[in-house]
Amino acid sequence: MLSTGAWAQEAGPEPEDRTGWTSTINNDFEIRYWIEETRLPDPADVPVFNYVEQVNRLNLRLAKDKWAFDAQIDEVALFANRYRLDDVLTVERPVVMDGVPTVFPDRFDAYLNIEKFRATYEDDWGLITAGDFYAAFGRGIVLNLNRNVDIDLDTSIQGAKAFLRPGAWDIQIVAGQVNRQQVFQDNPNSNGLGISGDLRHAVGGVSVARYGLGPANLSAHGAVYNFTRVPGFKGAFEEIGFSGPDKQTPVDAIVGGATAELVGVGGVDWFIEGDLFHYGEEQPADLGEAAPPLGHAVYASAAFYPGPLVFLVEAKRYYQAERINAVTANELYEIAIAPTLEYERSITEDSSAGLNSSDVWGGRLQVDWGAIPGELAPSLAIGVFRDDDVASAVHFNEVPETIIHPLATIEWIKGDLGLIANVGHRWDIRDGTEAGSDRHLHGDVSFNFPIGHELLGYISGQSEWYRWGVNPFQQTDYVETETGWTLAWGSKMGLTWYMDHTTNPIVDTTGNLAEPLYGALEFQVKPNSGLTLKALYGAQKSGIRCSGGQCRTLPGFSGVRFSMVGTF
Amino acid sequence: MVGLLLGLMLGSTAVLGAETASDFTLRDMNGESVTLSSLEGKVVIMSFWATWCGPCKEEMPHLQKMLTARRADGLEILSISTDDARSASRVKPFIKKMGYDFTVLLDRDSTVIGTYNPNKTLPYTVVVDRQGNVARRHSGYNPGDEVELGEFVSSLLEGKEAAPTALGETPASEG
Repeated sequence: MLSTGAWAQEAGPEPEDRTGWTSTINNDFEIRYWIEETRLPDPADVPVFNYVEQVNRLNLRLAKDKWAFDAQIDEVALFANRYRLDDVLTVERPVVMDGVPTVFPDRFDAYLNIEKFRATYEDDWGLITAGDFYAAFGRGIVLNLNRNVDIDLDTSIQGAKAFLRPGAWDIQIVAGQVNRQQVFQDNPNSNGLGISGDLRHAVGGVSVARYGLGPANLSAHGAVYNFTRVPGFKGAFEEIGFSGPDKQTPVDAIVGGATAELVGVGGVDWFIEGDLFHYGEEQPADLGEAAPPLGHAVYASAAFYPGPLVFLVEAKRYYQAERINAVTANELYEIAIAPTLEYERSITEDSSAGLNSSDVWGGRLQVDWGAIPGELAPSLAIGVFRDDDVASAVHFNEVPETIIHPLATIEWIKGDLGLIANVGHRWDIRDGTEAGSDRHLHGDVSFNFPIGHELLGYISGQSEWYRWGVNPFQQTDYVETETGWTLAWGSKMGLTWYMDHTTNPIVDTTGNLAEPLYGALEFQVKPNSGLTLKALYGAQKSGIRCSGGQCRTLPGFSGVRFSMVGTF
Repeated sequence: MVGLLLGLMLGSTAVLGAETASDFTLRDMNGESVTLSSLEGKVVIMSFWATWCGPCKEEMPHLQKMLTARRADGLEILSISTDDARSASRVKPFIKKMGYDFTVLLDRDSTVIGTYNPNKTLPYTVVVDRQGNVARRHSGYNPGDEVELGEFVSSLLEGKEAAPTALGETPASEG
């Protein structure tokens, strides 16, 4: 691998003087006709609750020299959403709650928001950002706010960030309020309540890292949280005392820790992080306890590479660490996302101790075999965890459980052929035989192959078989299968048939609650590399959907959908 | 409105012209600092990916072959992992098992991909020419894409005016 110094010396022509403004515009437009399952009793089978939802996300970037200005403008509008009965106008689905400002007159069911904005100055010494930014410390145990557009969640910190790079140091200072996107791009913006405005919790933190101490990279970090229960800008400012001491509340959580990374010591790449969580005396009601105990988290990994084999060992211990996320989880995002060591494609909140347990420990071993470099690599992995959380307000287990989860993987890529497949089985074994165990068999596959004349075939799918033990939210055993069958002409266009089947009677799949088998047809075309058009008709389950060489997590849908994504 | 947006997008690249590649500094898998602007004078392929992204994995062997064949001509590849902080320990084992030797950078808080591709769809490829301008963007990977990418990169390496590709794309001009 080349060093950065070598790159600079090898540079060819002198860089030209680039002092002009440059702009980038990215626009994501989607309009969808939702077919609702609800029907009027009389006259029967009249689909009056169907409606049209249109969303648009516009990202603008303007840059000159060391300055950059970014903005994201989101918009949503509902149509066929009102009716007049006995001279009374009824809005079926409000777009915004009362009191949330919108630029549109009342006669429109629409909302527009400058969702994100930021100004950035970057130089050799680092960068300073004012506005919306993302941040992660260590392995994300104390702070990990990221852009998760693949699951249609985008929560930033709105405030100020300084990232300084003096020599071998990285110093990150952040302060602001969390800012979750108000308009969903993929998920429906029609939950029956309307957009309510953010609970803008106050966040501040510092991370200091020193790289290149021999084979060691070391860091220390800390973060402070103050959770608010008042939507809008005002709430968080009151919490931290801007409106006077009478409205100020004590800090809800102070989290601090350190990481150590040793590269190649004894032929092993080592990493360890330890964090302590201190909670304020007056906790938000969501957390259920006035004075929670001191929490802690430890995550460690070791990777070594004997011959064609790669061993990765990971271990974790989290106690009262998930608590800082419990406040925000029902707002559809989390402030910190620690390593779960789970196979996250198949887990659910119901079956994952790694996601929401406040008293869990365990580890995972993965062995990869690079049988043919860059072509064939099978893997075996096993995770074993002990979940002892039976008391906290953030978890629903009534008895401790032991989780065992083996997984086998193959990745084979040869020319235009590609096969990636995973199969695993998970046991959540509860203490005491009367509670039984949850059992979860799962598999997923992605297979592409050439057909000839530039035509390609793609098959992707995932299937899960859940068998539940006894739990407070008793569910029925079920099987779910999602598939996608694509015929593509390179990247230029593709036709995908989605076909799904489920025996789950309670899974939330909009428009398909009564249907075990459903399908959808999607046509995709790329007139140029910066523009993608998609049109879909039919019904599909929520889940990971792959088409056009990309995969995204999409909600359940029934109806007609058209999208247009472009960069220019 | 759809028609207006469509027309704007179809004709936009030629109308608005060039885009200077936004500079950034990221750490690689071993903690070394890498800055994009230090590569001026080279043709750089920035490939955004993640360990959970299947199409990304299918694209990587082709990028490795391209780098092996054209490194001496001034090609550099920055393979930018967008795995978030919690998955960072899994990036290097994946690269090691596949035997890749391109430069892998960690964009743990998605700052850099947010700059180049706000939608964060993966894989996402950006080609930067020797002058530091964005010459090509491409989202997704389908087998065969690497052929067009290879032809485009070759035209930049050989100093030719990059011709519109079969996809009808117009490379950005200098501005």
